[in-house]
Amino acid sequence: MGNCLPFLYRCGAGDEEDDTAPLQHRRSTSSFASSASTSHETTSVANSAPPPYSHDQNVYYPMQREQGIPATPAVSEEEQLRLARRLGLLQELPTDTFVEGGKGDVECAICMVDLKDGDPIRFLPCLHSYHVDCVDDWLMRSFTCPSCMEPVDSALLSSYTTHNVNDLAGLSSSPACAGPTVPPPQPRPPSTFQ
Amino acid sequence: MSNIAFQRLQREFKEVITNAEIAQTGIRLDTSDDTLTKLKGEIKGPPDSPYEGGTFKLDIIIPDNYPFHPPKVSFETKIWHPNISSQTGTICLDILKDQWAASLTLRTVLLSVQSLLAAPEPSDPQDAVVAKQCLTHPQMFTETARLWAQVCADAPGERNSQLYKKLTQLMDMGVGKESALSALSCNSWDVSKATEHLFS
Repeated sequence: MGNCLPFLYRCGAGDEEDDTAPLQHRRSTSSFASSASTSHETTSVANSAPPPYSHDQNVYYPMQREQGIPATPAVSEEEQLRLARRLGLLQELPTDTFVEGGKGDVECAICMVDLKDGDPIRFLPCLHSYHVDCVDDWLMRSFTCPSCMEPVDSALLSSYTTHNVNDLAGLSSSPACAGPTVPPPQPRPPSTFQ
Repeated sequence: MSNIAFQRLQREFKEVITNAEIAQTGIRLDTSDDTLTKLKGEIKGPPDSPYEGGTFKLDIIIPDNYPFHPPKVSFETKIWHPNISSQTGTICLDILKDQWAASLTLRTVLLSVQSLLAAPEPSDPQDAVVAKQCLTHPQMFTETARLWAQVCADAPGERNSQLYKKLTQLMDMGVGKESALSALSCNSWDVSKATEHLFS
């Protein structure tokens, strides 16, 4: 919807002869953009009031076609927050490229394929290492080491407390930890009211 | 099935089939189709348990998102165990549910099922009737479990003549072997109660 306003502005302000060519161009780009957009965006577009240029059937056609596609199941806000937090935590875990004869495991325990020189790997706090793709997929489901079942976030949090206590509130992954950090304001003593 | 799942299963399969050490523990793995989604497992009843020497067949179904989700494992062979349903063969085992880890393999799963046979957990039951018997009449539980293993899983050894006599008594009435076993076991080996249970 971001490009609607400039389009309308140009439609009204531009002169009649010159307008047809850019309009054709606009039609093709806007239909391409809407067919490539996600179903979520499409529903929000379809639910809003019809724009002033609704007589233009070419613009509307791909949107109507996409209405038949069932929308992806809605993810609750809480779940989205949890996933976002976890994605953030994932970025805190060190990555490396595998070097043969170096430290760490020689086989990725998730796909059971031997690690090769140059494979991107990720280290967990327990020092187990896996292919980045394999372990990220696993950690988004369960935040524990697949080999030793060590919870990753508690280890990550404790390693951070030693470095920077102030970051702890921002790193905490469970909603229970994300309580108010500022103490409730104390009632002023009555003497100050004078 | 994803490519990672298929490749991993091939490796797991090869490991179980070629490793002589694994064969010694009485664990076998078989497949019925090339897609590796439905597998057949086999474990030997562990020594010093009522299931000793029995051959237990298991159904294994591999989910699409294996190894990120656990395989579905259930007993095909009838078994009398507090953590396994005597009716459906469903197994209550933490690593097949919330304690699954991607580094676990079919071999370790089958080994865990085998050790579950050696160490029943009646306090966390799958089959309430079996669990109750296991807690209140441990002697009867052991005898029942042994007879089930001998009748259904070809476990060797002398059959308990007293219990076996009751079983043949019901089978002579035209009741199937497994339903007769189940009816008697669920009714504390009381023949009249079991008959009532079967024909009511």
